[in-house]
Amino acid sequence: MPCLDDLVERIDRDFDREHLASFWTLEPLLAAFVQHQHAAALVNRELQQLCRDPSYMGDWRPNQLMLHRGRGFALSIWWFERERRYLHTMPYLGYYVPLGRDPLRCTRYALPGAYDNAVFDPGLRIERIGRRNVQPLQILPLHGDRDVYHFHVDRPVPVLKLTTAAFHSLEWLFDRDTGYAVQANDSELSATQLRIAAYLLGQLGDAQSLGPLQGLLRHRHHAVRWAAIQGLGWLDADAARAALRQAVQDEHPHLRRAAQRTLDAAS
Amino acid sequence: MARVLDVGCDRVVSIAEFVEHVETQVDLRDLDSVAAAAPLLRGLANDRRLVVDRLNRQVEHLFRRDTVASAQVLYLGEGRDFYLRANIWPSQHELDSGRMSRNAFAYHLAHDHNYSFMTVGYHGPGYRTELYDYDHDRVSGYIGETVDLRYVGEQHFGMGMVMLYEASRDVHTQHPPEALSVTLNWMIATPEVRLRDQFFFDLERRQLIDYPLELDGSRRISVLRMAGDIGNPDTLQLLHDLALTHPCRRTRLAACTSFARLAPASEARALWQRACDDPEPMVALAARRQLQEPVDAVTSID
Repeated sequence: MPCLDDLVERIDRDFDREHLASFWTLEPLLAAFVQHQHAAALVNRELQQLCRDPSYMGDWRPNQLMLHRGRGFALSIWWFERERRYLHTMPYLGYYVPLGRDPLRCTRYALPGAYDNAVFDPGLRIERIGRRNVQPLQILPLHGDRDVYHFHVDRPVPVLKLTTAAFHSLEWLFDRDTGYAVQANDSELSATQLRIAAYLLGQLGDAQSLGPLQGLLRHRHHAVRWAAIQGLGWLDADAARAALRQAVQDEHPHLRRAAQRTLDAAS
Repeated sequence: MARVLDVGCDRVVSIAEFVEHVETQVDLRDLDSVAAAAPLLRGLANDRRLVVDRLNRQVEHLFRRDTVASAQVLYLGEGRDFYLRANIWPSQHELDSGRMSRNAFAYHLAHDHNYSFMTVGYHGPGYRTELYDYDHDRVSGYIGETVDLRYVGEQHFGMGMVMLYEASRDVHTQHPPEALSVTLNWMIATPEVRLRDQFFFDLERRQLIDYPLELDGSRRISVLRMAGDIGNPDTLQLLHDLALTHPCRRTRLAACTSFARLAPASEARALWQRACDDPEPMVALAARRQLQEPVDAVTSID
């Protein structure tokens, strides 16, 4: 009967972050955890704190109680309150477990064969595979690398989530009616922070920002690399030109195209 | 109404000096005392390297050491019961071009704050803000409630200008600046702030329309809602205690609702009966409504 500390310790031991497939070995651990009502005890722990100190704030986000943020994984309880407007890809692998009295109803869609997370393509469309009712305390494995899930919410459902860290840079959004991709967002806040910081540093125009911006040219997210080039454009034309010349060889096709277009326009 | 503070400061104030001054000289619960520190915030804005140096460092560390859950806010420092941050205000053009995310901004949406704060224009032309005020004590706090909002003017919040907003009194609607702008904000975060509501308003209808999801109270209520669905017998007493004693009315109501989901009908009814005597109309009225309906029909607290 693993409590939270035991569960975390065993995940740390059994989950090899370098081999994501090892995540799928954690299901029996999670099953034992949920069968023993540990989630209720953890919620009670928060309520006890609140009784002692009315202004107590735990690790709470909107509709989310974070239980543990570990190395390469996170465990939390979410309150699924309303359906999402779009169908979202998940940049992680996960297990979802409905904890309340109601099942978690979902529809599963398959990502197309041509899907490459880092290269957004509005011409791609997801295919519906089927619906499933996940009964309370049953475990739903989520293959964020190949499937998209839509959760139906007639009434709010508390859901335990065990997820890996994000391994994709983008979170794609698909239209619920047509199934076509409509948008892609950064999957990690830090990428958005870096893009905005690069833009702001360009606007502030301080020469000491040159080094930090050049450092971002090697970032793994192509949108951060492009924001760094743009920031350099406001700061130092020579440095920007050098970055653009390098970017025409970038591994990301959108970045290569944008760099070439910018160089062509400049010449 | 929000105060425009006509202050000057001809020297540069460091974060450390500011924090030390506030911790030793300012009573954070006394707005006049807070206002008296305005020259120091103005002096902080004289440090033209403050934001750029901090941003350079965060970029070098890939924001790994950042604790702020927003891309348009830069953490600068903190002291006992307060913190400092820089807020980034994109122009309409920057939002339209996708350089900045529209969702993160409450432009064109009237709101108050549950904390008092002082702000100084640091970079760029600054946003335009319409100002209102209201009497928080006369608001019950339910969605759809009519609120007597009083228009008190408009300000173009430019570089070097200092303003002080009073918690749960001043309401404003911000409009995007002509070009990217940055403000420095001194936020007061005494413990009672976590117990106070913040509201969004519809100015045309003069109505309270929502609470921010990120509000401490909203996050607390999420946990109580979870408890109503996944709680065990131990949860009942905790919810019962919170329903009767927590100082936040939305929290008391959420605790009642969650208790009613978990408890036998007779116990739920008994708690709703006690809640009818709650000093806050929001709780008392909801309790009376519940007693007119089957207890298990309870689904929403707002």
